[in-house]
Amino acid sequence: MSGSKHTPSSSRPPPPAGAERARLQLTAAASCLDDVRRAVGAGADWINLTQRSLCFDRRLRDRDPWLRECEEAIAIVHRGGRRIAIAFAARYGTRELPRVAQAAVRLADAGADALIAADLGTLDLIRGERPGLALHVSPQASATNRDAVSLYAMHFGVSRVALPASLPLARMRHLLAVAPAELELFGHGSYGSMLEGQCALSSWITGISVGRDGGCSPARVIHVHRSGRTLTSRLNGVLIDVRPADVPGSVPAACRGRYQVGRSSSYAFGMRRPENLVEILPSLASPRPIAFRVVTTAGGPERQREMLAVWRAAIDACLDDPSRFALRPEWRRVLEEDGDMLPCTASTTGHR
Amino acid sequence: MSAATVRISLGPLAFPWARDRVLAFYEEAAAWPVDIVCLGEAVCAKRSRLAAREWLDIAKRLESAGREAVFSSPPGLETPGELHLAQSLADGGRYAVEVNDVGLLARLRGRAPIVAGPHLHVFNAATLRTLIRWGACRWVAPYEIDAPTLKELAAGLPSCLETEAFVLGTVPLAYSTGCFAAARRGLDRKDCGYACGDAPEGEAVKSLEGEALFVQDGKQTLSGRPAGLLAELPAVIAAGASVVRVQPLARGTGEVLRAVRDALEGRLTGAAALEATEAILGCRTANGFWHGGAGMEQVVVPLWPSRRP
Repeated sequence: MSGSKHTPSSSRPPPPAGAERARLQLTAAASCLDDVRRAVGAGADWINLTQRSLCFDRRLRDRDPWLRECEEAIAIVHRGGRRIAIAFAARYGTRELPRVAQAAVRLADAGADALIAADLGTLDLIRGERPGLALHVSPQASATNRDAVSLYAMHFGVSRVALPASLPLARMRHLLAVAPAELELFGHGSYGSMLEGQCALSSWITGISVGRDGGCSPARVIHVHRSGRTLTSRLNGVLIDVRPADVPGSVPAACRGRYQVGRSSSYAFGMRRPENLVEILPSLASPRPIAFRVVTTAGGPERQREMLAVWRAAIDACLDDPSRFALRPEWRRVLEEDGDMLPCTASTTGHR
Repeated sequence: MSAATVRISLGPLAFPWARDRVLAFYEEAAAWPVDIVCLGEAVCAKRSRLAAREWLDIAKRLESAGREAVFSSPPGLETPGELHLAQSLADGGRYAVEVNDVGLLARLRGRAPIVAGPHLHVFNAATLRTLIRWGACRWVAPYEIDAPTLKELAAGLPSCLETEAFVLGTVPLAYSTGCFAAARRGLDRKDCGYACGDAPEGEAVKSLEGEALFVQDGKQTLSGRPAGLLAELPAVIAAGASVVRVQPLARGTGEVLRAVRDALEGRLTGAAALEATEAILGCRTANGFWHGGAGMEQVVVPLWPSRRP
């Protein structure tokens, strides 16, 4: 966080030539200024700044530090000639809305290129405050069909809609062809098996909800206990996993737990991961630019840099000459090595 | 709102029951003390064993028995066909549609009465105002709602928008685009062979210590035990709900509806109605969401106010 000087956004350089119209764009999620710097360094076209911790509402009550951090992020991104979208993706209560509106105005004035929201009321509110500001819809909005994308685009002036990570490829292709807004697809990240925005498993066990608090299965109610060679994970006191300590596993979460179903115990919510879109980049066709959301914030800095670099290289290779595009072995190695995955294979075949 | 004028609604079926069981269930429902009945397939567009025409026949029969019929629809609709089916069940605006996917709003606006479903996750007044503009005549509070939030939202609503709150039944917690029943049997979602039909009451998901946490049912995950707000009924009504929702149960739905009606009309105290209901369900209920905590908790006496602002 040190070392970067706050510069007014009005002096930002224009984005690199061609970036405005790039057919395929890389969107990197960031949750702190270091993430932002790494994403800019890796050449992401867009940086989506999300909240690092839970309870955005609490952050908003004392919103100045967070807003200053956002302003600094805007400056960093613009110095690098990239664009930044800032997320207001929780479902706020009525009393939080005036603070959301104030924060939105301040970030718009500071030069944010877009704001991200999930909730119809929040979209409406931001649009009312700053009609010219670009709006993106978060995956939390569960936009799974053309009519939903069209409603956001036509009636809320949204320019980009992020699709849920688990949407089957066939549906994705259909939407890419017909949706009246730019789409952001799930490129890489920690993959939950539920439709984003429609999951209250964590809320049922812990009272912390993705929709209202912006995150699930929070670390403060997770207890991992090691006894001999066994790791035991509890979420708010509820046993969600028992496994050998030497087997790498995922970050504990309600949907990644090992449970008893019938007579057997298994990772009952484990779903096959969707296709790795890197492999089929040339086959994704849309009349509009397509963005790929790469979420590496759960990994370490090195992993973050590696993953973003692979995506950047793949997208550039595909933009360069789609007919000669092929997945390089060194990319595959990076794409497939991941500690923060569901305990099922990083499959490259069909999602079920 | 006086408790005696509060209406009871019967939520949509959560489970993949066989055709005969669905028909028998709604045959009986016509005689239950219920005012609104939600029909239709609310989980997976693929699995309804009834054709649209048959659902409409059930609606007509319930209507002639003096009930209001509403057609529920699932969240996360994918194909144009799924959207079209939900639209066609409105039968040209004769029946209201419970919308759980924003994509349906534009299709139904001005064409059919809209009930904003619980999966639209309305937590603020700005969203409610937006939904009123889109033609909603009733909204169903999200299952996760707590007492102060419901009160804040339902108070001061224009009379054109009714408030419905869930008071009893298993809670639909999550939806996936994939199907857990099919995946467990190694089947593809496209060729699922109605795998969910093998478990008409879903598959229990327990912790390794045997605690009933969830129930998996196709694309849907339900709570492992029912939520019950019968002891809190006066508070739910005081918060502004003019319709209270009961989910269909595997058995004893009629008896539970009678207990809720008795509680509304003052023949049973809330505590007695809850006790009667838990006896029918054969398990304790939870009320954690209402008190601002984890949904699975049973709060007996709240010691501190809800953590929500």
